[in-house]
Amino acid sequence: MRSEKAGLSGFGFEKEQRLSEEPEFLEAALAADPESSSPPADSHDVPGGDQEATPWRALHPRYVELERLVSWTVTGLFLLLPATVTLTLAWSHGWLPMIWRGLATGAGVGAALLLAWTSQVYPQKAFERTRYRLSDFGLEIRKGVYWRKVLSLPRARVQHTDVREGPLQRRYEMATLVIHTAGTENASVELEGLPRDVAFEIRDQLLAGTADDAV
Amino acid sequence: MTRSESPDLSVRQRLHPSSPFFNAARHLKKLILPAIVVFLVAQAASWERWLFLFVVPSILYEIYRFFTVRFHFATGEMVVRDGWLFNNERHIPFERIQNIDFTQTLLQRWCGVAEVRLQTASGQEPEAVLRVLAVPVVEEMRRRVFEFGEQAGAEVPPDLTTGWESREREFEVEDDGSPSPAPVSDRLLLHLPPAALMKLGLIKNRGLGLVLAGMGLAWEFDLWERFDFVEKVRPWFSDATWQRIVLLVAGTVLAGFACLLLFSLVWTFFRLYDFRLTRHGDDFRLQCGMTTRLSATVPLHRIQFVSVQETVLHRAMGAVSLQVETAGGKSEGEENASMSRRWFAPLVTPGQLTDLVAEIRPGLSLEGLDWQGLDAVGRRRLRRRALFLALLLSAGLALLFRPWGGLAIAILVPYALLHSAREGMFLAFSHFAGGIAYRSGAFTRRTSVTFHDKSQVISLHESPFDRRYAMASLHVDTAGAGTAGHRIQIPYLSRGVAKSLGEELATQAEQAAFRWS
Repeated sequence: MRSEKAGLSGFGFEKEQRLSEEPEFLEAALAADPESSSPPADSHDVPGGDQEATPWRALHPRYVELERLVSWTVTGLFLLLPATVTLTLAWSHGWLPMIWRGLATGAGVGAALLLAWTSQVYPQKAFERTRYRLSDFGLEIRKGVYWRKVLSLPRARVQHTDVREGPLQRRYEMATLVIHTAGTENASVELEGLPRDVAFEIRDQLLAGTADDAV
Repeated sequence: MTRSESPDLSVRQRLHPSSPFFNAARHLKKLILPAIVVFLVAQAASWERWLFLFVVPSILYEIYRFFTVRFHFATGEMVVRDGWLFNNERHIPFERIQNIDFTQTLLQRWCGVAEVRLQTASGQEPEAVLRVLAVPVVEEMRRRVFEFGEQAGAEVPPDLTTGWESREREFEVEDDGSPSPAPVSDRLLLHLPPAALMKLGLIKNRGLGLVLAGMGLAWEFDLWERFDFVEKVRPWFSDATWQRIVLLVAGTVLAGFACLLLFSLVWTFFRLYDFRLTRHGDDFRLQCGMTTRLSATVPLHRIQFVSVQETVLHRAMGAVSLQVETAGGKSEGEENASMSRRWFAPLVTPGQLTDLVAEIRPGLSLEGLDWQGLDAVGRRRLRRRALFLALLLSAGLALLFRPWGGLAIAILVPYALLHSAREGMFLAFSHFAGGIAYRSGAFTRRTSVTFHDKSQVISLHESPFDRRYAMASLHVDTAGAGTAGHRIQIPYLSRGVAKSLGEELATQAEQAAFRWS
């Protein structure tokens, strides 16, 4: 366990220290540039990064693919398609004054670009940001693209676990691991997009650790 | 779900025969205020009267419950059965009981019955609410549950004379002047005399909430318009000089404030009359109330979180209030929430606080903690955020009440500066041997402590703003968090500190096995 006694002296914020010693707190598991951070397809382990014994692991390599599929389907079917049809009709039938039509079209194009971004780019970012590992004290999860989170879930605090598999997830051999604790804010912690066998493996390991802890 | 074990001693018990009456009264009580409102406005909308028919099914349901609810004690557990066509049998092991509350209103006291509320760590509602039981049954129930705890604890001699009965016996003993026949192991930790209750009434100022609720209700039912409030008041002002108007307004406000204060004082006095916190073996017991008597038990080891609250008024009186959190029963409203959580020690002096905290965790002293305060960057961020909010609010007001609303900036900005400066001074955390403490607040200050064996998930959070400053906030989750109105969520930590602190806490949490009990 690495501990920085110097850093513990306060809320202590020191620019020098930040730049030199802790260059990449949440990024520790990730390589410096996003391109190289996507792991090779045959391995879930991330090369380099943290010095500690257990390496951070990435989600299922096809997580991005599945997320994009779902996201494009939903936005395409329920938002883009109806919007396109409405706008086309509006232009061909001359609904509303020209200026409103123009504005609506502009807004539609803007929204479409935003949705395209969330469907195409965001899953990749989420994938790069999400890492997990089973360490000495339990399961650690890093997630969040803009609002980032690192959850440390002590083994002894696992109340029970679920492994959830939707029909699409099953096709991609993925699963969602849900870990329930006695807490409030994090009463249940979800880890989505794990390879199916890894989800079961983590579950078994977590449960094995809790067997001797009578609640 | 049946158990092969036969009931140990007890045969199946019903609720007390008066329970349908008390439960129906409970439903009716909720309708009193709406009834008054509807009665006042009924000329125009008489259909609203029919809404009261909704109470009939609930009364029928209470009668049904009386005939179907049964409970009995088996070894180490209590079994509650209900339902007629669909039976539900619930086994509640004594060792899982987080706290037990007993309530007795004046009327219930006359009838010799009481309400019992058993809480385990699970979810939302109390595991069992038994309304109402005869007092001897309640006494027996209490005895069994606690006897079990004592067997498990195996250090405290069995004491059967506890609960509200014990107080009466104590008084009897005093009257007789003879020594107590049974060894009383209860140790009085806190007793609130009437003077302290008055102070508490001042601090709580319950009336304010009532007035706000009343005004909300008045808007809801358009009472202002129905009574032509403005029209009736206008003549008073039409030919009045401005001095008279000022006097009238000031007088009304003052009188209103005095009424609220009086209400608060009376409410507190009746509700918390003769408040006692005692230690009985490994349990804390609370008792209070003049007409409605409450009695609660909190097993020591079920305490997940300790929180000290200090408002400006508290400070003026040199006192604080102490709250504890246990798991379970989170979603209950303020009035129904287990009393042990609301008033563990409503008003204590700093000296008493030290003793109580040491009672909860031997060796823990809030004064002895090594607090790590906020640094300059954190303070700057606090100030910037407060200023931003103040400016946003002023802009909103300026738009709403053009153009004079903008003047609010003259008040809001200095207030924001003061608030953030005070908050920055007080905000601190302390990582001590047994757990973590966190304090925050500008005017109302809260200091909370949780322990390694009670902390659950440790998490670090980084917002985009945090990232600009290489900072993070650290959250320590506990069971039943939030009922004391404070959580351990330490903001503005530098990344390095947050990371190492988080890792240490998680490791210590893992090493200290979590126990509900």
